[in-house]
Amino acid sequence: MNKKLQLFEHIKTAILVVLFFTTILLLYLCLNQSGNDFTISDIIPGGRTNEIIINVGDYIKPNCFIQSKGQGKYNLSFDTTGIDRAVDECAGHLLSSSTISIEKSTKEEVDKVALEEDSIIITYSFSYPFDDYCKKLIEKTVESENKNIFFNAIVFSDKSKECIYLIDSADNCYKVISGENYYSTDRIEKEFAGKVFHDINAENLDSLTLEIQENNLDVEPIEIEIASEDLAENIFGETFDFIRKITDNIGNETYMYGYGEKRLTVYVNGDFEFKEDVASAGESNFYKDLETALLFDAKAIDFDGAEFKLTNVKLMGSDNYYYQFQLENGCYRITNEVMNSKVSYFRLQEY
Amino acid sequence: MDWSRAKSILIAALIVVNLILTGVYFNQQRDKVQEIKAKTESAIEYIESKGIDVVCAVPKKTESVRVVTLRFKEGAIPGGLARTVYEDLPIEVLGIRSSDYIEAIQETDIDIEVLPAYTALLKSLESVSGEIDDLELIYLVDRTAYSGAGQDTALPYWKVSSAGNSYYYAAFGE
Repeated sequence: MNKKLQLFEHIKTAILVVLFFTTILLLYLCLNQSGNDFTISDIIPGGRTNEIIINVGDYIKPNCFIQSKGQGKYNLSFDTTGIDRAVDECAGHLLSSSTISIEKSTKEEVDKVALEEDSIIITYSFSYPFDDYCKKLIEKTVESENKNIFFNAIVFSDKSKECIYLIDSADNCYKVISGENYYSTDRIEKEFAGKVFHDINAENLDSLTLEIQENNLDVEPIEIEIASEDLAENIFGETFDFIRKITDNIGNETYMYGYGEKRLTVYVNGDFEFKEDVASAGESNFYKDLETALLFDAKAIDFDGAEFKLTNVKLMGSDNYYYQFQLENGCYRITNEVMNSKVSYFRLQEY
Repeated sequence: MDWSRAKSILIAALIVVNLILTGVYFNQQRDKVQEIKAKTESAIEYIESKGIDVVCAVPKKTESVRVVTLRFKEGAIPGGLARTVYEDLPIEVLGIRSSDYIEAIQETDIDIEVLPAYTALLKSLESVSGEIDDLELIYLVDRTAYSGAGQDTALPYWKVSSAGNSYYYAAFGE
């Protein structure tokens, strides 16, 4: 009799378990039908919850700084910790003058200033848009024609503290910005303490550039493992299954989402390319657009400790401008275009 | 604590809950079907009020279809796949060159919930005039930009035929 009772209890327990899971299943079916965004994982916890945090400031820091000792001798350092803040303060102080003038300069003039004792040259690994730089420092743009002024180096002169020089070596363009608020290079020199310097000699900016390149400690290339299905899933999200896949006669694969407005191509040579149709209306903002690009990249390929450096910035378009960014880490090059606060183009190339 | 009694009560409660949930689920299914039927009839009325006659049968049910991939080969068709139907749905390929052919059809494990037929009817208002002769669900592959050998995905589309012209509307998505 006891055995029968025990068996009966076991059966009851089994029925209870089955009914419990049936209830879960029926709840899932009913809530799914009513259009709620409900998944089993909502009641059984787990899954990816990692949030990606990007600090744009890490990518727009100066590459190096050089202080002239006069007579073609310089101190060069790649440790720019604190330098970016000091530079922003000095440049911001000048730019906040009530009257600012922006004029063309020449290579010879800038060479002369760079050779002066205690001049400080700050270099960047990318072309910095001056318009957005001004807006960041003084919350306004200086002139409407400055949309196309870029710089990858700033020269602060100890002898002419009422002006700074902008160098755009990509376009061989030199500008001198003058105002009545004088800056002090002492503010930048305050950040020199504890930094490692290289002694270099250079007659002019060209030979200075060569010296910088020779001494440059590039980011260490780290190979990242990228699986095309992971990349596609990271870009397209949970509805990755819901797409068209095209393989051409060479073997390149194209994944399309929806009606083709998003496309990811995986090339046989290992490159990845993503395109999205984006309405072109919208304002471009260097910092916000760079953050958008970086968040997209970090989500797509999981940097996994690999350091990428911003190596190129271009302003594209005519009426509606948008930014193109290029990042490199010694193994890979990433190109992003950001339009209307969305990444409209992404390319990952191995080199 | 009398676990045996507690289990009995729980079993009874869960049976009741499950019966209620089952009723809710089947009600939802029935409501969905009725909703689509009502929307289809409204859509037909609306289109006819715009001067376009719908002379064909309009499906009033939804279904899921399996996504398939097609493998294309360049060259003449030796014993290349003559059939252009999969699971009773015709396959149409736009932009295929006369020298290319479908070598194989493979099933994926992806099912797509097809949008109701009335959505295609309403979208066709922009293009169609006169009368709608036919409305059918097909698999469509657009090879216009990707001709030649390779693989492509065939997705469900509604094909609306009117006055000898064909119009294609995606039967998936939102």
